[in-house]
Amino acid sequence: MLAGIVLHAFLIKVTFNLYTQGEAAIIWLPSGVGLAMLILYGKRFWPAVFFGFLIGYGLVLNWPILSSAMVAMFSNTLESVFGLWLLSITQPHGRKFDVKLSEPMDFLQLGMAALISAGVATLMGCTILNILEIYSWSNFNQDLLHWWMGNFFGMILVIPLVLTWRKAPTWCVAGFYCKAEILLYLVLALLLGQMLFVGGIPHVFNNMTQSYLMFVIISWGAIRFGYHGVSLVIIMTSIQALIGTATGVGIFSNDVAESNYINLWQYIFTLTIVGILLSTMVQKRRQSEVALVDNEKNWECVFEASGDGLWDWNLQTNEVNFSENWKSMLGYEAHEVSHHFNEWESRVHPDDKQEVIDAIASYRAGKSKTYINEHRLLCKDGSWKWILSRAMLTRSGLDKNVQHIIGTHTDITKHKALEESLKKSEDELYAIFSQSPDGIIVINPDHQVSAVNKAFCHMTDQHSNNLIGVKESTFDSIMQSLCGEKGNYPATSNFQSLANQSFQIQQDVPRRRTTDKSEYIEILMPKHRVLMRSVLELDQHRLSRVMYFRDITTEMMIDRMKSEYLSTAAHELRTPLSIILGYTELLKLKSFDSDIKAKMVDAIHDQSQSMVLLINELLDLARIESQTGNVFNMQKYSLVPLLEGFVANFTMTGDPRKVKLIPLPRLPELIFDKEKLSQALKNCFSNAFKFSKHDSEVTLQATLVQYQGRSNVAITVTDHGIGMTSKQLNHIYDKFYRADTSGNIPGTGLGMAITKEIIEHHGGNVRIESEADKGTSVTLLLPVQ
Amino acid sequence: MAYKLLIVDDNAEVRNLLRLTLSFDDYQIREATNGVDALAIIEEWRPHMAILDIMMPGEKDGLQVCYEVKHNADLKHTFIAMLTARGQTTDIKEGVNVGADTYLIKPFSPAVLRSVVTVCFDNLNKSA
Repeated sequence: MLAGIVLHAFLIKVTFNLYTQGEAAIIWLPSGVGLAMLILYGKRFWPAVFFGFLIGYGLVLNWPILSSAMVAMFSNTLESVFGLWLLSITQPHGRKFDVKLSEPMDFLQLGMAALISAGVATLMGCTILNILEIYSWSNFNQDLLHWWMGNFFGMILVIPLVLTWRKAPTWCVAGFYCKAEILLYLVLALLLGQMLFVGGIPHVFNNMTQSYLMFVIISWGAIRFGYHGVSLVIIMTSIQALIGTATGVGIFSNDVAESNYINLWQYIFTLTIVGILLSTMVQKRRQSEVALVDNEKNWECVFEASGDGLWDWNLQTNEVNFSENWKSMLGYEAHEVSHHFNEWESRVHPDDKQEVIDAIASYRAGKSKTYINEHRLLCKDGSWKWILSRAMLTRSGLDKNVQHIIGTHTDITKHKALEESLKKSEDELYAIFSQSPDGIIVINPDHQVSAVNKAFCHMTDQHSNNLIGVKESTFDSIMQSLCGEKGNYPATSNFQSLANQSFQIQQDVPRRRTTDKSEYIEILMPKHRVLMRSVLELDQHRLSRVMYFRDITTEMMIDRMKSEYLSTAAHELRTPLSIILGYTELLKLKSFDSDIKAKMVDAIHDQSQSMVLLINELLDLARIESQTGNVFNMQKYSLVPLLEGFVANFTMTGDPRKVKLIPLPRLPELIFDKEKLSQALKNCFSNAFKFSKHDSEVTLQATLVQYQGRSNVAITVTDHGIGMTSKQLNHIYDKFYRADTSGNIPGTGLGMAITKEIIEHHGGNVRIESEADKGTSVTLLLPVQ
Repeated sequence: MAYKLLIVDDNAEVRNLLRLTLSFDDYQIREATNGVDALAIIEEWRPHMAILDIMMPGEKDGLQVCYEVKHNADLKHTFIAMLTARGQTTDIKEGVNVGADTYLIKPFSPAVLRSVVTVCFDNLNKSA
């Protein structure tokens, strides 16, 4: 503010010194400084204007004319404040006054404000001075005009200069030639001004005509150096003209003083208007050009960065402008691709071509709002790239009648490949899902069943349509109903997500189970099954989960059978062992009669033998059942001699009988294990001998029969012994099952089980017919290959 | 008067062994080969003690016989010793559930069996 005061005072003194002969200044520069100061720093700077005047006048004027100085001081301060107010209230087209004077309108606005504020202030000042009788009423009009115009010109000359020169011009940093040009411009303007107004330089042309030259200079400045150059030269010329006119030299000096001033004002006014408007226009034009170029560059940057190829297809000429990106996307250099439409068309994959052409046609016909298409384009290296094409129809460009389609091509090869591989893996996963022997249920984040596989439907006899989309709680109740009234299905719908744990901890709601924990579920419908369920959380936040059901009914059954078999086998060993242990202990305790002793020793021997037999048979059975190693030695044999051999060699200890062989017909050769078949036959023979009286007959017969559509050799062993009840017959193949449990008839209860295993291993069958007290016949059926 | 003792087992050799074992002392011994016979003998003969096998052919196994004896007011004082090859904890529990007084597992030591029987009859003596 202090600087403002000093500047103001200084300017007032200088201006006064320039023309002390006039009552009021022709161009009153302090008015401009005052308003400029308020424009830049706000109305709170009015004291700077006021005190600047005070000091300035104080320096210049003598005390006797203090009263006129006081009036001038007040009216000038009022003028600045009023001018600022006018600028703030006028907003043409809603646009605020721009301090940078970027639009011609800003300058006009400034001019209007200057004119009105100067007029009002001057009117007031002059009136007061006349009332105080310092001015005389007779000169009122002339004083008023001088004062008014002086202030007005002061403002319109100084303010643009101050406002523009606040910021250094761009050409300050320009190169040498530019600086030289500015220097030349300023020197020429200075010389011309000197020649026109001040003198000292000889006149070449008529004075008046020469003054036009200043317009050439000002136009040059407006075009080349903008506001800065123009405002500088205008103020320079104005001061020169002022000096010249005041001192009575130059073109405006050879008339009466009054019209000199008016001519000067007109001249400067025109010069200012031309210079400033022209420079504003030029600057504006230049700015919009820069903005346009910038805009274009920005778009180019965007497309460059996105990697998309750009194309502009002129539908009239059928020429296409391909961007460099487009060309490089396909592996071409810029010069390798021409502007012809064919450049694109010929590269479209034949499989996609028709579809693309149709899409374009449909878009052009207005059938589709947008043009989006995916197709393959041939690259320079012969590979194909998947392209996503998006375009729009426009009429932009110079000729608005020509239609263009402008669009982008995006390389989506990677996306496509990813899509393919995703689809492939999805297919694979779906195949696994649907083919899995284990039941799978997927629960989506909305707690609904979203997928069910075949295995699960089969397990539970539910239709997938009845399950998909149902709530998890409904699913739980379906499962509960399958488990029966007494069963318990551990529900999953009340599991609380671990993800929500931090927000609400409810003790009574079970947390979600860990994935590795399995539960056993027993369902009764459609038939009894034991399922092992494990629940897998897919995503903690989205709450989807997969339930996995494995049918372990068979495993459980096999497990149970194995342990039963083992305990039965152990049990079977306990009976002979207890006899052996008991007798030996008794023998140690007491001496028995020799006949009793002999019986005891016999019993011990018999029991030991039966234990050996039992162990052998157990091992045989285990080996046949597990089918490990080369248990079976399959070869082609002629059956008849073998059967005759078996019959001839079979004898039972303590039994005088022989098997009676019924004459054999011709039989085909069969493939079998000789030893195993003889073991099977031996088991049949010994059963027949054990369960029949010593005087009855045991026979063997072999015939060719049809069984289940195939020809079989049927070997039948028949006895006429005690036979079996139908209840006993049901258990015939049970391991360790014995029709006689008295211990009178030796045996292990494994014979028929072993026989069955052997025959079935040959692909055959065992048929037994028996009647209590009548006898039994066992038929071994061996298929003919 | 000698105590009356019933041996029930379907295996003749086992019965023989038991008879020999008990021949050290002076008992009246009868034998049965199945559950139905055993019950009939108990009903009619009223033995002091029965040694029962569990797995026997016929309609009634050892457990069933034991259950019926122990639920018959006239017979329930009969001392029942189960003698079986089924030696798992669950089997023993089952035996105790139907009211067996003692449970012996095959193979057994004749000396132990003898002492069990002796102790049983001693107790019977005392209570009488």
